[in-house]
Amino acid sequence: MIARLIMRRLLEAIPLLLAISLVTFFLLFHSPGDFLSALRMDPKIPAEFLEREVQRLGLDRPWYEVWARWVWGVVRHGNLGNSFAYKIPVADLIGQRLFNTFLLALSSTLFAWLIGVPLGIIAAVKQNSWPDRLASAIAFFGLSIPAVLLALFAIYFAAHTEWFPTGGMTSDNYTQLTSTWARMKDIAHHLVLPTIVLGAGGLAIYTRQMRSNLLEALRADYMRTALAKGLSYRQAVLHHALRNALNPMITLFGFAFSDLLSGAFLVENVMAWPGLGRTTIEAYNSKDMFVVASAVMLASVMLILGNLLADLLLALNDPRIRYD
Amino acid sequence: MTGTQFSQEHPKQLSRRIKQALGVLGLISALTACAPTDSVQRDEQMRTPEEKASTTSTSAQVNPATSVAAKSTPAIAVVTPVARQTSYSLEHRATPPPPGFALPFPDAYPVTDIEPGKRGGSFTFVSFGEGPKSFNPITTNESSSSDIIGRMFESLIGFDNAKQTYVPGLLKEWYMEEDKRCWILKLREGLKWSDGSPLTADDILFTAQVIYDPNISTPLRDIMQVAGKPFQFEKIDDTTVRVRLAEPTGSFLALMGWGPISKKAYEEAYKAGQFDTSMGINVAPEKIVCSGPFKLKQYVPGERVILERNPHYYKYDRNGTQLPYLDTVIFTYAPDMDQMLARFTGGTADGIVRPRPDSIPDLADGQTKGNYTLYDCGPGDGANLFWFNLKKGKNPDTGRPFVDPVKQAWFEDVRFRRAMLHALDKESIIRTELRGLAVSVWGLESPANSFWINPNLRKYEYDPARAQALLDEMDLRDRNGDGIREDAQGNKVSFTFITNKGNKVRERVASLMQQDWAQVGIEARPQFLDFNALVTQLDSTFEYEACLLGLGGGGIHPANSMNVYRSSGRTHLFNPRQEKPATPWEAELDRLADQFNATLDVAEQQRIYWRMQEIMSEQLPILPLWTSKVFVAVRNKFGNVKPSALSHELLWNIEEFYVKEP
Repeated sequence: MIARLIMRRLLEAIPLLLAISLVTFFLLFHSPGDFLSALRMDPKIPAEFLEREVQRLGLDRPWYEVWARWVWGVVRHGNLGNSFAYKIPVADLIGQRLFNTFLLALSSTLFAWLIGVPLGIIAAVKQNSWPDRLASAIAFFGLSIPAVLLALFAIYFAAHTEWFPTGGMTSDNYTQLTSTWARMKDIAHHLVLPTIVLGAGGLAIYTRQMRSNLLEALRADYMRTALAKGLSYRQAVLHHALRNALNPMITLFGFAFSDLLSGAFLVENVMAWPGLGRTTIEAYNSKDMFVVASAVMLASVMLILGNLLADLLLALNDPRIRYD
Repeated sequence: MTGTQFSQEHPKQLSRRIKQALGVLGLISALTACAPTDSVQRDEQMRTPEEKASTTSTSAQVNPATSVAAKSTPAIAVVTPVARQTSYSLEHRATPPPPGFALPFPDAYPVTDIEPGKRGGSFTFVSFGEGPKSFNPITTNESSSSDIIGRMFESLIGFDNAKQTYVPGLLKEWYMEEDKRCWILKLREGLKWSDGSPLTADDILFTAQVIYDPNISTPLRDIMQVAGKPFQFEKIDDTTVRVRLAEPTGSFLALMGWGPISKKAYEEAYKAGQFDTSMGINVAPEKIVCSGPFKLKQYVPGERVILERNPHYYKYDRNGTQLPYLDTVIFTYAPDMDQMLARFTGGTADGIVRPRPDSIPDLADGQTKGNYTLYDCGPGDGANLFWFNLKKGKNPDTGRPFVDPVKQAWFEDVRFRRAMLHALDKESIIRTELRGLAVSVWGLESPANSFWINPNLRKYEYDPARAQALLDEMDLRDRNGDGIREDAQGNKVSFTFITNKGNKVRERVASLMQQDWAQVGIEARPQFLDFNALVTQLDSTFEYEACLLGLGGGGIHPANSMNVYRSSGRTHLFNPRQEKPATPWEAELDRLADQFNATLDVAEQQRIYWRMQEIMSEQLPILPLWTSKVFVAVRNKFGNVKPSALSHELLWNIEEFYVKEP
């Protein structure tokens, strides 16, 4: 069953990805300007050079031809094309950046879930007690403070206490750190604040969601039945209420997974994290076509995988859910 | 003049957009004001009194360019302008080293005009953006890359920013042969690449071969031509090369600003068709073989580039110490200008160039505490320009005329263009919106270009009465009493000018210009376009009436800006790519441009170029507005710092920097 589900989803993804890439190329070609725009107003750049570049980069071809060639290259050779600006394969350019973004996204997701879910559970089980109020307060702040403001707070905090670096991913002396352990510590040190800033919104949402889900489940008839047949309250909560309350959380996780790429951009920019978002925006601004297209495809793939993963987890958590 | 100003605005623009979206509360600026880093609000409060003072004072300011900021904080170090020369020699002969120099090999470069320093230490430079795109000096024409490439690759012929003269580089001498078409280039003997292999004439020939290869993407191929024909390079011996030109040219020095690349290191990749990627950001640092003071040590994407001393560099000081003095130079990248400033004021960086104008007062105040000096290098080599679209004809795709012929008739009248400039109160715009950090200009050349600028150009001073008289003379009068002039047929004299959006200062300046022109009865409406859309209009659809644009700097030799003067030029902004000159004075400009290239006498070239500027100033197809001043800030612990308005403003002599004894 699971294998069939995966197969079906992957087959469905093919036309979807083709359509998304088609639209991307259409928009790239039909919005004003191209990669050479910045050079066109430069008196030092000879006209002959611009003409040759237009041909070399294929900007004089119809957009669907460029799209078809690119898709063929991806399918046939796994080649995402070359970046116009960097003149190196797109895969080389975004590989490192993708890792950085992924690291940040992973740590902030873990942060949000490992704190948000237990906090929501405690808040629901001990409704109206002081831990519940504390959880509410945290969630309230997390939801109402925009990430950019939180990022500025974090930078201010870092600058004044000097406990954390104000931005970036590695220290200037990173290369002089010889042991892998010291390097990991350096990156972890840089990771703390961006993780909190990026994870705060999710933390708040998961706490509130977990709390209300669990509260609802605690009042359900099956809880009364479970308690009546002699289960301890603890067992009843863990084995009956919690499993039911988790379902909507898993759906949320599917979306969060796809947000990993797009959501990190703001924090990357404000906190100088060298991630994929910054490269993508730079490429978009300079109309570095294949980099933009690859980044869009990457985000789409993440969305599809995220949803698939969420569906699989749902099936694992809840035996009532079937996909055939 | 490059487009770099725009591309640099993108990241800033973006972060500003984010801040705008959320900054309604004013909370953010309050917060940043508390931060030690950047202080928008405090800065505003501080400036207001001076701002008022300067706008109310009438003729008190002798030099309006001495800024508001400079008045409130007189401590900004002003870099002495370059002394004006009358001529210089196209040729250069090798001279024996000055007495007292003990050079390890006879052709090593004796550096005379510096304080001898000690070796050691590191310099951290911060700029904003995503960092270099490539380390390839032949195929790269983008500023964040050339900042670094310029430290790693030495030119054949150097340029001294402080004196604005050509100086020997890898070449010890260069001169013309009898027929004036052949140049002899003599390399220093004993030069070495950073990998220790010898740098010889073969490398120059290899580099020329790469440049002229049609498969290699480089503008140098079209630049290194005379009369449409490439140069011919011929090896005479290991250190001598003969360059044969189709015709004699006086711009030879400007065409020799490039440097060679190593044949041994790159020939294989070139033959395999992989030259583009052979010096990409993803290759191992030791694969970048270079000739400059520093070589690549490490590249961290989006964060920093670390350069280390090239042990085979050819310059020595009078104590026999090999340059550079510094062990390493670190380039770090901040996502935007605010964070660039924060890293400098926070102490993690040693130098910045071109900080945002609104940060100048705070930077000036922080000098003692931060132990740095803020230098006012004077006007830069960019320019802010305004022009009317004089291109005739129709857009072949839509059939619409580029410009409404009724309006174009006014634009074509030189009296109209002069009236427009007389009506502009440039000085007050500079004093207020530009915070005094710009200089009014009257021609296309910046005052930074001391040798080539014509100092005697006509000044169209602010004179609304004169503007009114010129418009009356054209029979453009307010016929219906609505405050706006009409022509004889009753058409309202009104036009739209386009400019790029996302630059707040530019937007406010545009509205001030609108007000100034309304005073003389002309309706002008600014229209703000995305940069890419703007270029499309200027370069391909031509459907606009007028344009306000700031062009960035780069290259002061007139050869770099001939495309603006020539009627066939792509950047002949007001009427580009003409098949034959539309007006007699444009034909005259074309003739002068040809003459300029053909003459071998620099003083004569200067006269010709002055004449070209004079024609532009008389005909005024482009209204010259102002040039922003360049500021550079650098920590006091470094010696031999010589900031300049020309690129690179701070790092051009980085090999001479040393760390002073505490």
